[in-house]
Amino acid sequence: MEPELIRAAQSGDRDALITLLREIETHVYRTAYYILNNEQDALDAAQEALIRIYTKIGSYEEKAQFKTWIQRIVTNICIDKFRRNKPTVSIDEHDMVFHEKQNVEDEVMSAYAVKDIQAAIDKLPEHHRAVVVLRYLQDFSYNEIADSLDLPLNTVKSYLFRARQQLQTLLHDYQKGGVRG
Amino acid sequence: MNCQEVMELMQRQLDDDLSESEIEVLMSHTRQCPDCAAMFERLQLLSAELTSLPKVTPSYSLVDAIMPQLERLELFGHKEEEQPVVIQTEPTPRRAKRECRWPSIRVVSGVVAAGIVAGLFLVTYKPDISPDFASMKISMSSSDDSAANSAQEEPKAFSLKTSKDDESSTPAEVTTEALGLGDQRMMTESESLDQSEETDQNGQPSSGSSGLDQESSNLDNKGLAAGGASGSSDGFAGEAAEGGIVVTTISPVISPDGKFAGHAVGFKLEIIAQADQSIVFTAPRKNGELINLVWSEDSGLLTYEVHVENGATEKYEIDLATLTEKKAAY
Repeated sequence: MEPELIRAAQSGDRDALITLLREIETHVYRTAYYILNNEQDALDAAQEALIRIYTKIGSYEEKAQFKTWIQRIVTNICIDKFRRNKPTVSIDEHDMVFHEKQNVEDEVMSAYAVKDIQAAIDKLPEHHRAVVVLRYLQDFSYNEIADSLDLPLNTVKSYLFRARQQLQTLLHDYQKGGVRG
Repeated sequence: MNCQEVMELMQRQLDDDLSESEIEVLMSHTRQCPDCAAMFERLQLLSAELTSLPKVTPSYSLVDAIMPQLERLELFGHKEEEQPVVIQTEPTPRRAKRECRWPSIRVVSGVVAAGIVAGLFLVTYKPDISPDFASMKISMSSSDDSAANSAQEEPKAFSLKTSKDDESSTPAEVTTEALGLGDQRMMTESESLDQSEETDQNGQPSSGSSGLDQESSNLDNKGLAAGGASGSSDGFAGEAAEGGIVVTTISPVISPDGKFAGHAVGFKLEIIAQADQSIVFTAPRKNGELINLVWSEDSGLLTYEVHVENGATEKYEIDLATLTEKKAAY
């Protein structure tokens, strides 16, 4: 995302702002998708995030990275507005439609099914989940995650490490017993 | 170094966060500790899996989907600057703004509305009462709801009108003055401009018609809103009553079973029980003019449309059974 475009959008250039939104919509959606583990909720949350970005663009300050600013907005929406109790989620409900095909090699190398991974992510507490999503789907550094979630750096690390350990345990169990859920 | 400490190194290694010397420590530990070696392998596998999760993309353009909302946000932000206090029961200011842009469509919609007014005339005309056409004219030209009233009985005219409105978002305006002359001649808005100036005797200086004096038309709107909401007579309502035809500024649309009336008050829709005139439901405020109130045949649903500034139309329906409102598919 070019700083010129962001600056133009901030200075009231509506076309620039729309262009900017188009550039980020996939990133916004992807985060929502993996935090919420549901396509429809993700579409709703991503749209809400884009509208909020549209209205709040003036409050973005350049000292923060734009990409962490938008991820903060979308993760907040996902965590606040779509917080639900879902202790027993049936994994079969989450047959996903992939919009980009994984290449065959990836599939062959996969030890864990994608839906098992998603189901495991879904079991994580929401902030742990958000940390994992930003780390792996947005390729954020510890610091970028800390900025996005407004968490101390050490908390980010401990959430990420604990989340990976928990995911590893969950997936190891799936693999061993073939028992899901 | 114990296994717990090594765990942290493993984790940081997954994020490429280790220095050369730390990597060395990690490797020398895993060479001697099969448990940690196995764990590290599993974590690396997990990390690789997470990295290769499908890069999902939305199934449609989200920006396109929210564009109507974005446009409305912008227009409303804009409008607040120019017109800090506007209670818009009548679409006059908007019409004024659009006049130069959509002259032909405006005239067309005026002609179309003329048909609706003819329908309204047929429905409301009572031969035994001498109607005050002057007041009728005012109420019609200022209220789309009365047109919607007749639209129930005139489905064809109704649909025609709607489609025109969709294109132009220009409210229909028409005068029925000609009816008084008996020749049933319908006039388009442009013709009515002069007429209304002559016949308005009640502080309605044909504001909307001129389209130039926005301020005065805003004042007018407030007057109309107050009159309509309170039911008190600011000359206008009184005159209508005297004339024997009960047509208020924002005329209620009564349900087929006669029990309820849908009533646009400002940007809000109210449902009033006819028995005791109590308000049974108030819909949340909308972002535009409320028009085309239509009851379902069983009186169970009231649908209406909201014309927002950008020309878009939103349709809502209120379920009388549950007293809930939802956005209807358009």
